[in-house]
Amino acid sequence: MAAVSPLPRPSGRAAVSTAHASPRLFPPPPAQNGGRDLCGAAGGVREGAGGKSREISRRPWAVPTSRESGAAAAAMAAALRAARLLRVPAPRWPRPAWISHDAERRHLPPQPSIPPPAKYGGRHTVTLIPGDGIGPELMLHVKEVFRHACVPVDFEEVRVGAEAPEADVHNAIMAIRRNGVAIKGNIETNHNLPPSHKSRNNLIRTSLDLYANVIHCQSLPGVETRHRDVDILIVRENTEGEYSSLEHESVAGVVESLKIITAGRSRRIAHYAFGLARAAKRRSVTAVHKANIMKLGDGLFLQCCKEVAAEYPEISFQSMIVDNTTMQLVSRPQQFDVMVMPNLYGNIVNNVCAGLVGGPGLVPGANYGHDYAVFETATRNTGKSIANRNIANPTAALLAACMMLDHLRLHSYATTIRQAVLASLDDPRTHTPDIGGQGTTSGAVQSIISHLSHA
Amino acid sequence: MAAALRAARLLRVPAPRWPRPAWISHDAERRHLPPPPPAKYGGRHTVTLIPGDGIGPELMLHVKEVFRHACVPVDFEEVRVGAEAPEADVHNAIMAIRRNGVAIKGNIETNHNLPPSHKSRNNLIRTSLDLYANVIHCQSLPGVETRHRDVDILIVRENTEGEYSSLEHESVAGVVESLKIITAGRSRRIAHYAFGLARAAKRRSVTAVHKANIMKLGDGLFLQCCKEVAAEYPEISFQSMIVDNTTMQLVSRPQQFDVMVMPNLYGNIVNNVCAGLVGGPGLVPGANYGHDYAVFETATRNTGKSIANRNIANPTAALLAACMMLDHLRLHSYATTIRQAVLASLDDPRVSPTPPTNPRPPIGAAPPNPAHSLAPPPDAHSRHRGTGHNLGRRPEHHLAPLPRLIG
Repeated sequence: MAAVSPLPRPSGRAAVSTAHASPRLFPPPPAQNGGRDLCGAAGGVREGAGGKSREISRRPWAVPTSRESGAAAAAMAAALRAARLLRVPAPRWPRPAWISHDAERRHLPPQPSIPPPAKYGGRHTVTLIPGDGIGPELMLHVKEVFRHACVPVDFEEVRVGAEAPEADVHNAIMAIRRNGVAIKGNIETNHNLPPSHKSRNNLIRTSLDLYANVIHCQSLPGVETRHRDVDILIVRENTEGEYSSLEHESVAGVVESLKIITAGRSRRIAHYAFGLARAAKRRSVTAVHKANIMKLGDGLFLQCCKEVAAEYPEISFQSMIVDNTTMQLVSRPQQFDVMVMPNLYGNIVNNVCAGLVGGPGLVPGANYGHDYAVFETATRNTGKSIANRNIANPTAALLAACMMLDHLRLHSYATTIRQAVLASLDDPRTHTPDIGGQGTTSGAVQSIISHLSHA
Repeated sequence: MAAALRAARLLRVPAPRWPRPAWISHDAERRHLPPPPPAKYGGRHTVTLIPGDGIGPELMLHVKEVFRHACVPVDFEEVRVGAEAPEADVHNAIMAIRRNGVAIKGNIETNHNLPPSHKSRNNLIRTSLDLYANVIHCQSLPGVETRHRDVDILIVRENTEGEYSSLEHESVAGVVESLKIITAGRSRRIAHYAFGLARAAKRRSVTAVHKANIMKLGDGLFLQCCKEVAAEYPEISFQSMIVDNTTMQLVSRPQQFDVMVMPNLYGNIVNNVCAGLVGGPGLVPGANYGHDYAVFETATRNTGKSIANRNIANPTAALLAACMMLDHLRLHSYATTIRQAVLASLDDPRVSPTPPTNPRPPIGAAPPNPAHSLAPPPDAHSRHRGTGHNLGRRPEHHLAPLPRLIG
C-alpha cells in the first residue's frame, strides 16, 4: 500500500469517462445569499435560479396535458405567454462564483455537461509543457517511466520558452483547453524584463482559472528529515491576492502594488478546502491570514472561511496569523492538518513545508480549476543551477505525474508508479544530492523502472 | 567685499527642500527641529515602558526586578496602552517616547474583529516615530537544543511601509484592494542601514529577499535600490533571493545566511521562521531603530494571551531586549552582566523557566560549543545625541551588542 494516497478528485472533465459514473466529489455549493458580493448571486451551473429559468424557458409550454382541453388550455397558454413577457430574466451579473472565469468561454451558454475528455481509443491525451531549467529533462523521465509502465497516455508537447512571445503561451493554453489536463515544468520569469512581460506560469493559471493549488506534504519513509510524521494538505488560492500583477508608479519612486481579495473567490477556495478535507477524512482546517494588519483584505478572506466552515460541522476550523504559522511550522508541524490561505502566504507556506519534508525535489503539486487541471512540482522551481547535470530529483515530477493519472482515473497505473517511486526512495544509494545522496537522476529513474518491472 | 558677499548671498539658490534627503526622519512633528538631548539626569536614564497585553506586563515586571538587582541606573516611565484604548493613549505613549528617546515595550494586542478604523497600536507607534529598521539577531544559543546549529543571522526589516501601510478599500462590494507601497527613498534607507550594520559587525554578505518575479515594479524597485547601495560597499557581497526559496533554504540550511534585508511582510515571516529555528519566540529580542528613537521588544511581537498570568512565559527575549536597550544607552557593563546571567541560566536545564519547548536533540549531535567569543564591533557611525565616544568596555560574551548606527 502506497504511503502517499491519491488526492480525492475535486472536479473534472474525466468524470464522465468512466463506466461507473461516480458522483462528483465536490458538487457546486448551495446558492449564495442574493447579490451581496460580486459573484454570489445564484448557484452553480447546473442548479440555481439562472439555470432553472433557462430550463423552464425550454419547456414546451404550448403542449397541453391530457387533463386540460380546449379553451381552458388556450387561455392558460395565453396567460403563460403573457407571463413570460413579464418575466424578468435572471441577472447575468453578478455571476455565480462557481462559473469559470475562463475568458474565452464566458460568452458561451453554460453547458449542461462538461466538455468531453480527450480520450480516444482508450488513450488519454495530455498537454506537456517542458518549461525551463530541469523541466525538460524531468519530463523526458516522466515519459520514459510512462512508457515502461505502459500507461495509456499520449503527450502533446507545447514548448513555451522564457522569452517566448505571448502567442506561445496562448498556444499552450489552447492546447490545455483542448486536452483538459496538463503536466508542466516551471517556465522561467526573467525579472529584468519590463513589467509588460507577464509571468508565463501566472498567465496559464489565471487564463484557465486554476483556482486551487493543492500540495500534500508528507514525510516520506525513505527520506531522513529533521521532522517526522508531517502530513499537511495545503490549499492555496491560485488566481488573485498579491499575484494580480496590478502595479503602478503613481509618483516617481513610489510604487503601489495592489493585492485583490474577493469574497467570491475566497468562498470558492474555502469550499474547495473543506470539501477536500471531508473527502480525505481530515479533521481540521486552518486558515492562514494576516487580518490584524490587512483588516479589510484578509479580514474578508477570514470571514468567508468562517461562513463556509459553518456548513461543514464535522470539520473543526481554526485561524492563525501567517507569522505564527511559519514559526509553528518550523517547530511543530505535526499540529497542522489542512491549511487554506491566499496566494502569497500559500507560496511561502508551500515552500516551508516542502523544505520540512525533504526539499523541492520531493513534493508534487496540482492546480485544479473547474474544467482543467495542471500538474507540476509543488515549489515551481526552474532549477537553473542544476539543469542538464543529471542531478535533479525526479521524485516530484513523477509523483505529479501520478497525481495526474489519478485525476484521469487511471488509478492502477498511478499506484504502480507511486509504489515504485517510494520503493526506490527507500534505497539511499539512488538518492540525488538534494536529499543527501550521491546518485544521479538517471540512476534514480532506472531504479524506479526496475521496481516497476518487479511489481 | 562685504557688499559683494551680501549680494552673492541674495543670489544664492537655497538648497531644495524637496526631494528631501532620504536620511531625514519622516517624523512629522519634529522635522524642523534639531535632535533632542538624551533623557539622562543625574547619571540616571529615563526610559519609556509600555507593558502591552498578554505576557507583556509580567515580563516587564521581571525586567524591572532584574534591573533593580543589577543596580542599573535606568528609571522607567510607564505608559499603559490597552487593546481597546482610544488613540489618545497611543499618542500619549508616543509623546513619552519622544521625550525619553528610548522605550521598551510588550506587544499590544490588535483585535481584528474591530473595524478597520481601529489601527494597530504597534504599527502606529512604529510609523509615527519613523522606526524604520527592525533588527533581530537570530543566534543559536548554547544552552538551548534545537534542530539546527550554528545559526547566526542578522535580519534587517523595513518597518514602516510595504504591506503594512493600512491602505485598503472595498472598491466594489466583495472586492477588497490592499495597497502595498514601496518607495525608493525608504528602500535605499533600509539598504544603507543593512550594509552599514554589516560593515560595522564585520559581516561578509547581505541577502535581499524579494518577490520581484511577481511584483516587478514594487519589489523590483526595492531590489534595484539594494543593488545601487551595494555598489557603495564593495567589501560586502550582495545576493538576492526570492522569498519562497529563502524560506525553504532557511528550514533546510540556515547557516548559509549572514545579513538579510527585506520589505515589511517578508521580514515578518522570515523573523518568525528564524526565531523558530533558534528556539522559539521566547528567546529572540528585537529592536526598532529610527533616526532619533529606539524601541526594544521581543522579535516576534507575540502577546502570548494563552500563556498570560500562568507564570510559564519565557523571560529570555524580554531580558535580552532590555540588554539591547542598555547597549543603546551605552551602559555596556550592565548589559554584559545581565546578558551573561541570562545565558548562564539558560545553560542550566534545571532552572529553565519554561517547559521544554525544544525537541529532543538528534542522536549523535555534538554538544554546542560555548566558546564562541566575538570581538565587539567598533562603533562605526557614532551619531549619538551629544556624546560621541567609542565603546569603552568590551563585552566578553559571544552575544555581542549590535553596533550603533543610529544616533
